[in-house]
Amino acid sequence: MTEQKKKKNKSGLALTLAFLIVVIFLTGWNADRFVAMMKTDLPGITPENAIWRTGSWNTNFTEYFRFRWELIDLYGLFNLSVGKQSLDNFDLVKDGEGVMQKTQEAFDRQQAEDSVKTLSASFAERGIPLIFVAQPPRFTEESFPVSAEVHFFGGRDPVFLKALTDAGVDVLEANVEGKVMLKTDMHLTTAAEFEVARQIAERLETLGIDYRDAGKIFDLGNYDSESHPFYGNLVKSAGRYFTLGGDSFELLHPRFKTDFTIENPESGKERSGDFRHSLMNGMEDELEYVKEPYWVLDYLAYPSAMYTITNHQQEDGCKILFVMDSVAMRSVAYLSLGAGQITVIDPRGENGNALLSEAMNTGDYDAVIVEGGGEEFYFSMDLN
Amino acid sequence: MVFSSAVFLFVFFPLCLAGYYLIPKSLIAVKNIFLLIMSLAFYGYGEPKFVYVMILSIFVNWGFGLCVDRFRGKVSAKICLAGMVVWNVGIFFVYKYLDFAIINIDRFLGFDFELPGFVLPIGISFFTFQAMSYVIDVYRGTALVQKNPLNTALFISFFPQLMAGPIVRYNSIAEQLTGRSGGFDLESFSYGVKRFIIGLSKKLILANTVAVVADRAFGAPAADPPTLLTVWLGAVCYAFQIYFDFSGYSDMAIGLGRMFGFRFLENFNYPYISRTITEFWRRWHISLSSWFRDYVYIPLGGSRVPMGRLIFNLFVTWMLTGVWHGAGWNYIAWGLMYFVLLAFEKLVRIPERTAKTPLLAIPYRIFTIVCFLFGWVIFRASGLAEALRYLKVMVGLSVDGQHFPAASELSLFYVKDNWMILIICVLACTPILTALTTRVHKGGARLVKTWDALGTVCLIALFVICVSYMVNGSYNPFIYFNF
Repeated sequence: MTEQKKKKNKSGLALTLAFLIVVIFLTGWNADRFVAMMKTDLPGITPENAIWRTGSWNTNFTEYFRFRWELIDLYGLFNLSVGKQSLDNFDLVKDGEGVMQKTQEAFDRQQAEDSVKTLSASFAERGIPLIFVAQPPRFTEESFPVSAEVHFFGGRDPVFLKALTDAGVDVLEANVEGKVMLKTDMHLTTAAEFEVARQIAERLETLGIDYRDAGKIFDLGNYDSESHPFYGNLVKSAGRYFTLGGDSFELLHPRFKTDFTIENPESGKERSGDFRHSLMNGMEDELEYVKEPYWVLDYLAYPSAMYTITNHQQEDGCKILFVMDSVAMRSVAYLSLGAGQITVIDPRGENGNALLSEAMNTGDYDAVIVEGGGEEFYFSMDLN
Repeated sequence: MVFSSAVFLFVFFPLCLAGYYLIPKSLIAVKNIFLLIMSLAFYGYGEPKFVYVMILSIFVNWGFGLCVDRFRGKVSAKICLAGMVVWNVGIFFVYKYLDFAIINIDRFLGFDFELPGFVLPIGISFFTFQAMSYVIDVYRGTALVQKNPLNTALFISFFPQLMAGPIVRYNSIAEQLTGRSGGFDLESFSYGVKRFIIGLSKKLILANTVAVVADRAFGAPAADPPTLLTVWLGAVCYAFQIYFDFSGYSDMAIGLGRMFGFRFLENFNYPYISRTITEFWRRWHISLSSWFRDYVYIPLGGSRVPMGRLIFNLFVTWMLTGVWHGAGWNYIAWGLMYFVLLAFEKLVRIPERTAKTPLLAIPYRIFTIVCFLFGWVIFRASGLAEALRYLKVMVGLSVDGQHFPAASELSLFYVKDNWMILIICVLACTPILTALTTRVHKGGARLVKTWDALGTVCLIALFVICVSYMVNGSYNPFIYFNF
């Protein structure tokens, strides 16, 4: 064998070994997950459903792939090294301040307007006030990512809000000082959602609705705070190093006595107990191998289309219908401390729109609040 | 199943590799049966019902091969050959063009026929052409008939080249089916690994990244407001996307083939460095262009015919090349565009003139680049009208009375966001790295050693980065799966 061939074989051997080691190592470490997936999925497979059943195998396999997060960190680092600011088919864009933003389809303003107006008018006919809550904006003009030609989640649309106001809808433009948004997640900070709940309570009182103990409920001094390192949904496919560090997720536990029941009429499930044990612990059904809890879902009962929160301390208190998506889950939890009952409807859930139509025509409430973040929320809420 | 998926790389591939090398190397026939079973499983993943279509196609073509051989020199052999062409073109037509034909009959002749709506079996264009080449080669006597149907089946369905080529010619692989060494050959295997990693990187890191800009420029999911910069950038990105997507697949196919002891012919040879359109088609999708050259163009008479006949031969060949790519007027227009350009080059003897006159070579090279960019626009657009609209914006014309700005904040963002990847794409389109390696290998031993070690480390790093893309990414089918 010539000298050059020997050298070539050495590098060939190193490459082959490294390749096989990576493949065998990752195959071995993930084999149990694939086998478990097959055990569940293979029995029901037919030639007719094979295309979409097998289509989901790869997604499910990678979703729970061992070393997924380390590999995604590497993905983020590599993209950082080639100067990328957008990832995932332009779904995620890092703005001028290094904060991740999510793009979305152009907002169908007319449909959203029509749906909110229909809701407001229907409840007004029955003497029930409706408050439309505009979330604190996710970004300022200065940090506005990319350009006005791309639509981002969490912006505030003044034209839309004016159209609602002109149509007689009571619009509450919630504004929060300080840190409003999580850097790595589409949701507000807990403190910001808490503040939004306070502003809603204030507006309810202005409307003469029997919302109780607002002073005590919205005094942060009455809460124990617990913080957790947090990497939210905007970095789940970008890794921990693509953006400016992680967040800290705050949980607020009331120090005063609380007693709630949260029940889901569709699934028949319910949780009772104090605030922490009923309105929190929403992740108790999470899969065992989900090591990093997604703290936003610790509140209430995502992703159910409808559930009811009963405050046993204030059973004769006001009854509220809260139409929302996940952007208001913590606001609802804290708002429920001064209400008798809050019914939550998420129009994006299965039958969500039908449940909303039913509530619109027959529900017995003292007030209705609408707060949604994404265009999917308005797209699902088709009441016309 | 796609090569760039975790299910392939961490389930199918290790099983296939382990099974293949666990079978003793002397049992080539058993190894072939194993590869055939795995290939059918590979094809059946997703849409098992199409396995039957392929099995039927395999056995019918095997039968035609036997008949052609048996009746060699007689009229019956010609009848068998004609029957084979009718059968394969028929299958091809029913699955690929029937809907298109009915839509146009309805539109132009005023009928109202219902569309059968057949779903296109993945890779039908590739395996049908491979099967046809087998029977034609047997008829011509350039290949021996394959009496064992399992070997014919493996030739047609072997998973690395099954779905998107290269279109393997039977005479290039016949000997390897039974005569290859079944043992582990480090040199061949490591070359396979190298090609596989290069292909995977082309697909996942380059093609998928530039595809985002191309998709947005061409209006999917939602059209960005067009600007001159956006549409040119979109065309350039699509040119890179289709090249890295398709040549990446071919690299992976060639690499996987090597890992199992097969040698496939190259399918690409840096097409974007071509000086003329004629050269471009010698470097792009070589297995398809040589298929049409050998089985259509030359049988029609080739180039050594009177001018009128030459034009006709080129027209038929390029019309069919366009049609092969898809059932749409834009594919036909794309094929005809190349017919016009290639006829022009042949008539004016452009390749010879550019070789002799360097002053002509540079502007003609730029013209060639612009031509294939325009060609990709026609190819990528959802229809002819859309292609024309896009091309109008590219050349600065107004569309429906609307003029478009040179650039926008968004188009500048695309450039800023992708400039490094675009530079890598440009470099990867040229043989610069190969040339550098050749030069280094002429140098001192230490330099060669360092260079090779660096190359190995880079390939391993690229592979791990590709795995990170794979684990993170959503389903990204290859463009040529649609053809």
